[in-house]
Amino acid sequence: MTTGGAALLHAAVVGEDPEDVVQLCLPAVRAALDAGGDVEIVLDRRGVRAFREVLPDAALRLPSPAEVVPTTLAHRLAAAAPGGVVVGRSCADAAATDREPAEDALTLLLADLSLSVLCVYPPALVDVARRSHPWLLTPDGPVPSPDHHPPSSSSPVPAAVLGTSVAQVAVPDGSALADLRERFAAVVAEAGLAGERAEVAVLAAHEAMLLACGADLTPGRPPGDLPPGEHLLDVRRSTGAVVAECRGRPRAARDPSAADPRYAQLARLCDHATVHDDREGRTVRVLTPTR
Amino acid sequence: MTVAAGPARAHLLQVAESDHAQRVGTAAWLDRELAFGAKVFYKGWLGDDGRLEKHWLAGPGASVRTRRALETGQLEFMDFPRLVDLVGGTAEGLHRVQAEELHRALDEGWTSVAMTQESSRRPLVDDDEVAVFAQQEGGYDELAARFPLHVLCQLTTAVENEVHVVHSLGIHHRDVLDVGWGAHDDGCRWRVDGDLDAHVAQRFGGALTGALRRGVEVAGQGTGASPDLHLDLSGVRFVDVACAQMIVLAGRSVAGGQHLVLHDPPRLLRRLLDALERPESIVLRDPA
Repeated sequence: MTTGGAALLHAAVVGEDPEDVVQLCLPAVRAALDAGGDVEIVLDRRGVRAFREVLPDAALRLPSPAEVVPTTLAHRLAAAAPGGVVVGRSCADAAATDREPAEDALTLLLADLSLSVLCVYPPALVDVARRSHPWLLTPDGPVPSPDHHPPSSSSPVPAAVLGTSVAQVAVPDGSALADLRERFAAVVAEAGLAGERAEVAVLAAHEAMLLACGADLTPGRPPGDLPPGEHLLDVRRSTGAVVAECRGRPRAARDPSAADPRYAQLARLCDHATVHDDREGRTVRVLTPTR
Repeated sequence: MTVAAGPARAHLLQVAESDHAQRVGTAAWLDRELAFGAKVFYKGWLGDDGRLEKHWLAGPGASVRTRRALETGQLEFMDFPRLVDLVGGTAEGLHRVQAEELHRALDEGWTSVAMTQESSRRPLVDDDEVAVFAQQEGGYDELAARFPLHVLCQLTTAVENEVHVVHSLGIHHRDVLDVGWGAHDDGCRWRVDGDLDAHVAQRFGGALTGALRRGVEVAGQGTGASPDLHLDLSGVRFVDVACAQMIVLAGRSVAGGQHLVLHDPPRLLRRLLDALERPESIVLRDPA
């Protein structure tokens, strides 16, 4: 696992001593500097001095913490150049009511950016740090935070649009695809869809899961099976639509572009399909109107 | 994998993805054959200690009838290493053993005979090995056509490599009972039923390739038969893009003049085939 990948690394750095913070952040900072990326340190004087001692000649940007407002930090960083690193503790120092909304805004709004946002938290706030960050920075590098529960809209799609979750189906391997189809077909039938429209909706949900898991569909070659993993179908239903939300972890990260042959097939089968990649995997949603 | 209902099939390939699932299906097949009074020959693997008492046939995984049949001799077990010694690794050797067992059973007065063997765990590393495998299985077909013989070949995907699985489906395409789908050749059409999805696409593709190859072989024997494969899809409930792609790939690779005629295809399959640029060798036919 490395920092500075194709998507956001939003990680908590838990430490009181500035030297400890520097040691945790240094691999990501050095990698960014070596790649020509911007590095911004938004810490108090002690924190800045600790970085300067280790990187005396590096081109660090050092804005004053007083100039960085936590509640608008996500908007400010949305314009950041790809490959950069930001180290700060603006959120940790914010009022308790602003802290977690500010962190969630960073997670949601910057999800597609190639950016590392390393949030320094004191040990006294370790629970908040673990809860509000998808990643934790450790001496071994970033690791997923077990206490982080991302909102269902961990991609830019607003949760209200998707409807409420009415069924969840674990899909550990290809043999579970039949169960996925059966459960989704039941919800589709309850929503009033029948005939070919219902069949198409079920086929779209099935294909969405294969796309989420990165099952190969190269033209001219035998197609691949669904690779084993912790994949999940979340079926959402609103008054006007049924949504199959498929979360998978493709082994080989590929751009979920319209050029992907399976995406091209999926787009033919449904009214609306979205694919979103982040560090936690891939989310594919297909929406079927029920009116 | 589900246990087949209805009349027993002459030479059936039963596909399962685990030893447990294979045993469940085989136990049901055995119980039925024994109940109908068949003499059963079972080829399988014993553990390192070579004791039949440790095999599932002798344990609670098998029915009381099966365990009793082992005691009375209605069911005979042979360990694979012993079989290999007997046949000398040749198709002819295996045919000889099969025929000897069959005729011995009929001479003893059994009115029908059944044979089954566990997954052979052969890597099938080259075309020669595949050809020998096909010849050996062809021996079962010849005997089943002439005598009251039922054969169950067990294919456990967990213990075989991908090459073996695909070729095994191709060789046995006439009667297949797989996970969620199956196939049966009734002499006029190759009938497929169940769900065809990405999980079984390679296996379905192997069987389809075998069925097409068989059509060419039969036509090449000067019988005047057409090489076309008539694939009846009326029993198929679901087809996904992966299996539609397997059909298109098969259609693109058919021999010159051969057609793959799809009878009563599911309506969504038509859309998928069009999207995948169905070749002219694939012909769609609605029910009359």
